[in-house]
Amino acid sequence: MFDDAFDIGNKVLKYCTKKGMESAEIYFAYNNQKQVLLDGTSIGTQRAKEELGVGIRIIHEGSEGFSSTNIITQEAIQKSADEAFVVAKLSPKIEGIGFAEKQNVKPLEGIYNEKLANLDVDAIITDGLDFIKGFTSIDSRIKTTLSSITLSTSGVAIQNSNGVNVDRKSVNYQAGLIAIASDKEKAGAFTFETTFSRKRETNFTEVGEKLGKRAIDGLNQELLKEFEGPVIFRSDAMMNPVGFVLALAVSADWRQRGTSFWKDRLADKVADERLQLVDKPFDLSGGGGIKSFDAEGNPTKDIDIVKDGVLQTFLHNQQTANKEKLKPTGNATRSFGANPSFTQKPSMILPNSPWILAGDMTEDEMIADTKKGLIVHNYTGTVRFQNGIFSGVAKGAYLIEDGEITVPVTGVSISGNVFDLVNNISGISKEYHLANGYLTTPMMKFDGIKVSTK
Amino acid sequence: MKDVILKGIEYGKKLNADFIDVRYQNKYVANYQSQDGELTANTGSRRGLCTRVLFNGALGFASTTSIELKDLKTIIEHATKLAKGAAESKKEKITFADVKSHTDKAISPRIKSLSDISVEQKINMIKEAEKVYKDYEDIKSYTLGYDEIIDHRIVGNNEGTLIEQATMIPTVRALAIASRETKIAPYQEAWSKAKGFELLDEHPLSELAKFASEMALKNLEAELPPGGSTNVVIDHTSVGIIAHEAVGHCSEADLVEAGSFLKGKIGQKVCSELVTMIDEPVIDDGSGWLMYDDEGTKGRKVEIIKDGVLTDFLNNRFYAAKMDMKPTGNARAFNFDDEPLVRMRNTYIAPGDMTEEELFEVVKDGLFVTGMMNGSADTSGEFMVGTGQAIEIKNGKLTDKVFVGPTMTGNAFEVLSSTMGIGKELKLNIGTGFCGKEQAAKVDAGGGLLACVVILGGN
Repeated sequence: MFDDAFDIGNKVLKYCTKKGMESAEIYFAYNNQKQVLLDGTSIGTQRAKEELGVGIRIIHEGSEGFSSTNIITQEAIQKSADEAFVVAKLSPKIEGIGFAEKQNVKPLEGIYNEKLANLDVDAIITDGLDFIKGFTSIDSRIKTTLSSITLSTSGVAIQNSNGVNVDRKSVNYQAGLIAIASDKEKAGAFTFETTFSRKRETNFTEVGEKLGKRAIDGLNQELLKEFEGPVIFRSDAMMNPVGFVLALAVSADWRQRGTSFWKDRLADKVADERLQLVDKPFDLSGGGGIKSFDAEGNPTKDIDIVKDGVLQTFLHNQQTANKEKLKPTGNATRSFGANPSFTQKPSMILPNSPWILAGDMTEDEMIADTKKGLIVHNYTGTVRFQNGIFSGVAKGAYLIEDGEITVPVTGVSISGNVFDLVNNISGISKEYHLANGYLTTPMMKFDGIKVSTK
Repeated sequence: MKDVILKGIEYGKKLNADFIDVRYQNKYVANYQSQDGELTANTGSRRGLCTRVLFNGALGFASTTSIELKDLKTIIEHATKLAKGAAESKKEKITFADVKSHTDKAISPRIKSLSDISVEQKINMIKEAEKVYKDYEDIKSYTLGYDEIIDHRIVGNNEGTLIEQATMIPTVRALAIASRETKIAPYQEAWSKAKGFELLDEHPLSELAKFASEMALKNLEAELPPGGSTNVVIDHTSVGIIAHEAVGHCSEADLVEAGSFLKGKIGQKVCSELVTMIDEPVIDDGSGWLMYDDEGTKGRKVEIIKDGVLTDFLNNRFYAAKMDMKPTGNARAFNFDDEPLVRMRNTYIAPGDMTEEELFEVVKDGLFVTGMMNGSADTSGEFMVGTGQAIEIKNGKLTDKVFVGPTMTGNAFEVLSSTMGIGKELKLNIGTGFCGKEQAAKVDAGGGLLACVVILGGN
């Protein structure tokens, strides 16, 4: 995947030295996608994409510059290096800035599956048709839009002036699926489901059936009047707002800037003692973030972040670790969104593959243990990551009465503070779910959420 | 490049494509920012070619980072194979609505080209502006940024269209985070327009930094307002978000077909007769500037709602054919490897006839809600908009009492049905201004100030 790129990269590193650049880092990212879109009750466009790009970072006299290109020639990458050098020379010094040192990277087997990488697009079409069969079997009023199933083969390679020379490749099979039910009287809301796998093992008919049932529930939602009680967050709601807020609060960068709510709480009890937050970058049953080295080439490792409710550590990249004379924890991250990673310098610190560890009750027991409450699939709204305050709308919400899910409800606004929620846990399920292909989490029940209704 | 595209199209015709288009794009993006004095810059380009091939009612799409004819031919073969392979499974055959073919070159407006401003000038501008933060002791963290997109696109098809477009969009943004003891309050202000470096004359970075700092400090001691149904005057940023997120998406033909709230309602009254809502390809320096869309269709002004009545939908050629509508030119792709989707451009609620003071009077007791944090909506018209700040309106006058910006929720059509008045002045600005429907799109939105009733997720 990277043979030619490594060769060009070595020549560019020599060029940088010759041009007087103090040190350089070259980050290659490759992505090949086969994708089938699903639209209405039919398959849509078949897409094929391939891109290899490179981001080059220059550190010179304590300052930094970065530039990227998807033209993979020695000349084009050298031009990017020159552009980054111009920025570095004009920029003020950045405390702690530095590249990863050469270290042993523990091998991570099982993330590249040759058979899956060679899967024919016909098989993806079959899975798409199965999904459509699933939701159309529930009700003819259901359609899909903006849905896709994607086979993605990707790779990352990093070289730098300190002798780091690492690469990896992986294959994922994932889907982002939406179903909507509507009729002449009413339009339902979007219902979402994401799937993620390193094999082709998802039963898309079953996914379609489940999503179809939720879409029909969207047509039968009742307005909720007056409500007080606990709220159970399913996986996507655990990711946003809970997972996002906690992930940023444990960033050493946020701590050093004073914007982490937990900035002065190391070794303090910050949450209910049942909360265990860990980073498990080598556990293949986790999400898409598992990896043996981070976005700077530093090795990753298992980390207890919050243990028995006590904050154990902050997560570091090379720069934040240098500032405190610590070793990096291997949590440098480039992009966390739609942009290809090579277009971004490593500017964020996040858990690689975060897990909130399971509790001691089944999901059924958790629901049965709720006299009156809500269970929520998704949250959409404002989240102030610095202070944990969130305020928005509960989506895919159902009322629980006397231990049973009774009716789908609409018009429910919820607000609270994530840092308070994790001190008001009233249940953690035994079962795990993968939220947004990233956070592995049980369902959790929280007290203390304000619920407003129309 | 045009020669490569035309030869590629000829090659596709030889492969018996029913329709073929080829698009070239080279997008340069630069982000300069200082976070607490740490100045960094991300600059870079992504360029490539893509093609869509229609064969027997099925569509194949393929892209490459190469701009050589031999590689274009390879992806045309690949897209043709994908379309042929899918044709049998495709229940509903794709056709494209007829449009007039154009050969043209369009350039977005600019006085000072972003390309003529040196990296040194851009960096020095940030260094100078960030000095403002030193005047505020309780601003413990800040981010000050200048971004630019310089985009060059050419699209051609087998019907004779060949459109070249060059777009230039700068963005300025300032985030201030106030902190005192255990309290933390962030505030962001941003502007983004289709123009040149003159944006910085209109919205100097130092002014943004000052404004964001003062707003963050006010929020530090403020509380959320009471929740529930509330009379409000909404400023143009949040009006824009409601127009874009809640009404605009419901009027996109792909979402209409999927069953949005507006399906089957053309000709029906959907909100107050005071409301007219428009999506326009070019309006002054609106950052959704798009003379021709990424199918090469010339954009037209779309009156989605006129005097409270639903009149039109936004579409691309596929949905125009499917729904028997006139194409609107709303097919947009963000990068060379994105397939064009139905997207908005510059979306706004047309200005009314009231002054700001008259709007406060009509609301009588309520809140003036300003600034925007984020927003989202779904196809039922249910929306949420996170706001920056709220100021009390009492007895028809604005007071000094400030609240932290609440989240506004509701059904957009119910909210717009509660319209009590619309301000005279039209402003478009939704901050950094990206929409995220499957892929990014640079959009703008706004309107006149809007007096109405919303639900606040307050204290």
